[in-house]
Amino acid sequence: MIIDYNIFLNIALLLFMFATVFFVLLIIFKKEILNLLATSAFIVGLIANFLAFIYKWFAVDYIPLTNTFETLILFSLLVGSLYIFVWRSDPDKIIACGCSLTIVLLIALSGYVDDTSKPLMPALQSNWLVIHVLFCITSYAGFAIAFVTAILAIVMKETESINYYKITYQNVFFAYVFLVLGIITGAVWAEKAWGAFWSWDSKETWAFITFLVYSIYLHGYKQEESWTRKGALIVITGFLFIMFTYFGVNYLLPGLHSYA
Amino acid sequence: MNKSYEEKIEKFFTFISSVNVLSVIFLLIIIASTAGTLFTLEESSKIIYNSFWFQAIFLCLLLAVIYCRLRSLPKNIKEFSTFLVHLSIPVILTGAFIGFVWGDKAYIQLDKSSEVDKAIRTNKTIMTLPFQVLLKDFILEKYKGQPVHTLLFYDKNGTMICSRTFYSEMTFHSDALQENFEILRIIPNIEINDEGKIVSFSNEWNKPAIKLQVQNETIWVFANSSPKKINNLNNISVKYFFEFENAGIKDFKSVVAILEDKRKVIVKTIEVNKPLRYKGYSIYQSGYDETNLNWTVLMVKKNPGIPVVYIGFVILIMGLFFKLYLVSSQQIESKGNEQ
Repeated sequence: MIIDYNIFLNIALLLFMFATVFFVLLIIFKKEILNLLATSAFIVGLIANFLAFIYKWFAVDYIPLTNTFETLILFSLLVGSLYIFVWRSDPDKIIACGCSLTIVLLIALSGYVDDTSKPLMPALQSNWLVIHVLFCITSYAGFAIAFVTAILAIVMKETESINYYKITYQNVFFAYVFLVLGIITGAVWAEKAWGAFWSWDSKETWAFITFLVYSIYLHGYKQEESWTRKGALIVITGFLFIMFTYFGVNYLLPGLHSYA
Repeated sequence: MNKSYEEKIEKFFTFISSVNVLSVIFLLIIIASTAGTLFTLEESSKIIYNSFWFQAIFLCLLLAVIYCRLRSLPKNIKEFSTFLVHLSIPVILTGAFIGFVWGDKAYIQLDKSSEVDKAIRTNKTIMTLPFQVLLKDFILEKYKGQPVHTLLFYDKNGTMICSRTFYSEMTFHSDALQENFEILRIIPNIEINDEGKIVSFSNEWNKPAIKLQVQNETIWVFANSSPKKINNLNNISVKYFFEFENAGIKDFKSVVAILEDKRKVIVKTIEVNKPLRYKGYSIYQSGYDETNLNWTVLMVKKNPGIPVVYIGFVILIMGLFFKLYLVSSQQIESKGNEQ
């Protein structure tokens, strides 16, 4: 049997599904064994996801960041990896469950997009590809975790939600820095490849729109006391904008990023 | 200036630098940009991005940021990080403005071995360059797909009767020749002696040959060589044409020399992602003529605003990392306090 990235991706999907179920059971029954099972499934799932990325890399001979399928593998991997940093400072089981479910959805989504990798077109033959895409997907992963914690902040009781608001802000700020880095590296690359650092292309315009949405959130969070709930709603909206920038633009709008 | 006038100005700036107004400015840019993506780039540039009202919104943003910063200069490290982030906005917008006003863009269509010192803008006016551009060579590279084999059959006059394309060993029937053919073997690289015996072979597609069977006759046909006669079929000969399937464009590049007073100053290969920069001009590989590969299309750009924009980017990154460091150290601090 030839081992390929799809096998690891399917194993990762299965393990993250188990992790989600175990986290739900842990929230209900609060048994230590469930904690062990959920955490183990999550970590092994993350390793399988990492191996899927590495195997895809070997299969195509370039760092697989050139289309939706390849970036989805990285997206799920980064959500899991970033969540470990959140978990280190706040091992909240509900956030863990939300993140695990997000990863399940991302990997499941990869089954619906074309996984064929085409030879690199001239514009993509640049080191900026790796830097730019890595920054963008890292920011998307941070915003995904913030999206989970923002939903929890809204649905939880007021006393419990304060912590979620704080984690949401920290994740949004982290992701915001990477989004800016993604936009800047994209601009520098565009200047080298197409001769203009900004062309109002659909993808870059939507990245700019999401940047503005999160800018509104960050400005309000620092300056207004009553911002928290309003802010969480902006973070949720912002993530929907991210998803449109990531998927919607590729399929619905024309532009220079049509290969993505 | 009387006091009430000063108060009015103060009130105006306080108003436009408030979070609520800033949010409204952001929302206006969001709505306009979203609308822009629904049109073609040409249309949206005309009605939105290059319009007076859209640039006026950015001017409001610029004024709000400048006033906000002048009103409260940084007093500590924490405020300094925010100051850097805010400072980057006027710097980036100034760079963009310089490029918008003093930037220039034109195209050169150049034939191999010819030189020009003029480029044509999109509005058909001429941009005169302070140097000449000479095209020494144009190279188009394609990705190799899978090997494609074609057999071409000719009559005694050398007129093609029919052809058959295939990817692997197979049997086929030709209606035109009313005959069955069998491709027994395809060998990527082969040498055969005069007696028809294989001397050497390998798997690299250097000199492919196919072994063809017609009735009881077996013949070897070599790729891209002259037609070979089939003895069992009177006056019919066969030619084997071999190529790789086109799997897309790998690269297209122009070898260009920059001349000053007919003297070569620079020779460089321009390709996508590798422009040539000389005397404030950047020359990009823009396109080529598919029907005539002796031609290339280059884009010449002059944008004095780029260094300013990049300085703005550096300030922005410094400010954000500074702030990120502060946010993460606050997190560690609060965690320590809890413990």
